[in-house]
Amino acid sequence: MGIDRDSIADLIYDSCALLDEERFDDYIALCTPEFTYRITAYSEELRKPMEWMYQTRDDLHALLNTVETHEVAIAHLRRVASMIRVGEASNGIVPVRSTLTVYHTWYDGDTRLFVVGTYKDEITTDGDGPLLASREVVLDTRRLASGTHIPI
Amino acid sequence: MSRSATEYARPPQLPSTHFVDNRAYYDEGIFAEEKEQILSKTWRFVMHESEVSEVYDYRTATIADAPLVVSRGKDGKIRTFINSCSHRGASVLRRPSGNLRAWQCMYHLWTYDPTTGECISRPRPEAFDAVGLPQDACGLREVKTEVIYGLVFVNLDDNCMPLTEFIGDSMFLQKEMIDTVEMEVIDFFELQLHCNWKNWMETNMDLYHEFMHVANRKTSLMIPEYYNRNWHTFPNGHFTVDRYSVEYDKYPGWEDRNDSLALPGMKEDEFQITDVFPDITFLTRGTVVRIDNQIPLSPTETLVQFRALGIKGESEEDRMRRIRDYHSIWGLFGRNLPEDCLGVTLQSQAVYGGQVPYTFWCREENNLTQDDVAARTWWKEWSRLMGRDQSHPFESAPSAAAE
Repeated sequence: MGIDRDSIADLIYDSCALLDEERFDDYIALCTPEFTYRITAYSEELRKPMEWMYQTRDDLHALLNTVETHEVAIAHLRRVASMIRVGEASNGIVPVRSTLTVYHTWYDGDTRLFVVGTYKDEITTDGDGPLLASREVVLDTRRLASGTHIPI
Repeated sequence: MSRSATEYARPPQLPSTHFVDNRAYYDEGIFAEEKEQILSKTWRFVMHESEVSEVYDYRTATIADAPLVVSRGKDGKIRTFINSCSHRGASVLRRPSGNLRAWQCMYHLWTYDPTTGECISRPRPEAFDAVGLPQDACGLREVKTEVIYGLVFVNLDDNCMPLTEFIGDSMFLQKEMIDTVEMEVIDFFELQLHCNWKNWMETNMDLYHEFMHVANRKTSLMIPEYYNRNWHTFPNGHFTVDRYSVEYDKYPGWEDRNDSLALPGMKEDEFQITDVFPDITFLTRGTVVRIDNQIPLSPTETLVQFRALGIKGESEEDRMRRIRDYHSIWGLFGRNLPEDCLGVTLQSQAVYGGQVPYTFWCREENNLTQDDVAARTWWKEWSRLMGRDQSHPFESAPSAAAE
């Protein structure tokens, strides 16, 4: 059976929209039970890769459940995934790469670029629909305007 | 009860050491003077020695608008030079770090020795020789550099006091953590914040603000020991506060944080802070050290650099656990750092328009945790070096009380 590229693209776009809307339970529902999430970057200063976040599915869900209790720094983030490239399936896993741009809009409506990077996803297609088996957010940006409680 | 405009503008009935005229944060003239009187004349932390661990390693830095390159020479010694070609000023080193046996400016190919800063070649030099500009007069400017506890400090003032005299005993609570075993930087990132550099520094001396941190409310602020720590103040504006034990298991997801990666001299659940004037903070949460330093860009913008220190040569598993301890609280996506960003942003939004006259640093609690003695110590040194009283910076020299 060929890869349903449209459904994979929909999954990527949904993952962005659901985090934008802070619908965290629905975001977690896009992930397999074995899902792992990482945020990484390459440090030109240290000349080595860095990991800025690592979470299992359950850990991420618990973390997202704490967001509403915190003083949230960023008024609103808008995640834009584009140039989605779907690789060849192997053992039920499809590698997918997307270019990622994230904007933040402050309470007064001022919008600035927040980060730029890549989603490196592994997607399963074995079930009723595609799910995220893993996501690595590889950031180009290493100088940010603020921290954020909500993952990228 | 609200206040009228006259009442609002009136200085508070407090000692002059207990409040700051907010113009000290955003005035352009004061910022220019700070660069000259403080940021150029005090010892400034620029990196950990592990960032130039190999011979010919280099790392760029900036202090008081001076572009710098720090290198480890062929003799193993760490030196600092102005990162600007002697010809027409272009940056010689363009990347944040690297390893080069010779430094060549890309613009006209002038070349420098990374050990001595000496200019070692210029294309077609005869035209310079002809007008009396020999090659040996074209070396890079070397900047005073000293290393203490693995920390590299630089001073643009060639006549400054030795670093050991500047630091004094202020790092007595920090020393064992970072100078017992070989350490290295395990993470680095920057924040460019819309705030004055002093506002960020204040987040690491104003412990009264910890009510803002949800994680601290759950793990620290309900512990009696938290409130009974002594601040220790030192000459030259430094200060440090005693440690206490954090109850990490009170925050969801941190129940298993109390692991076996404690740094020398610390228990894995202890938390300690040391601040070195003017802009350096060392925070240790048992298993990892965070170092903040700043590159002020304007009165209302600052670049804050964040380094995490861990133990060199540890296993990959231990390293990842240490890094995750760090990022869970202090990382870009951690629980506390975003809240500090919000605090300084909201402060700057309200204050920098010039309509809010004063900041209070007046809490007195016998030099214990949420006493503002740390901030008063810092501002006392600021006033001394600036020749201005922080409460009336445009009217008088530092008050007798401040001195």
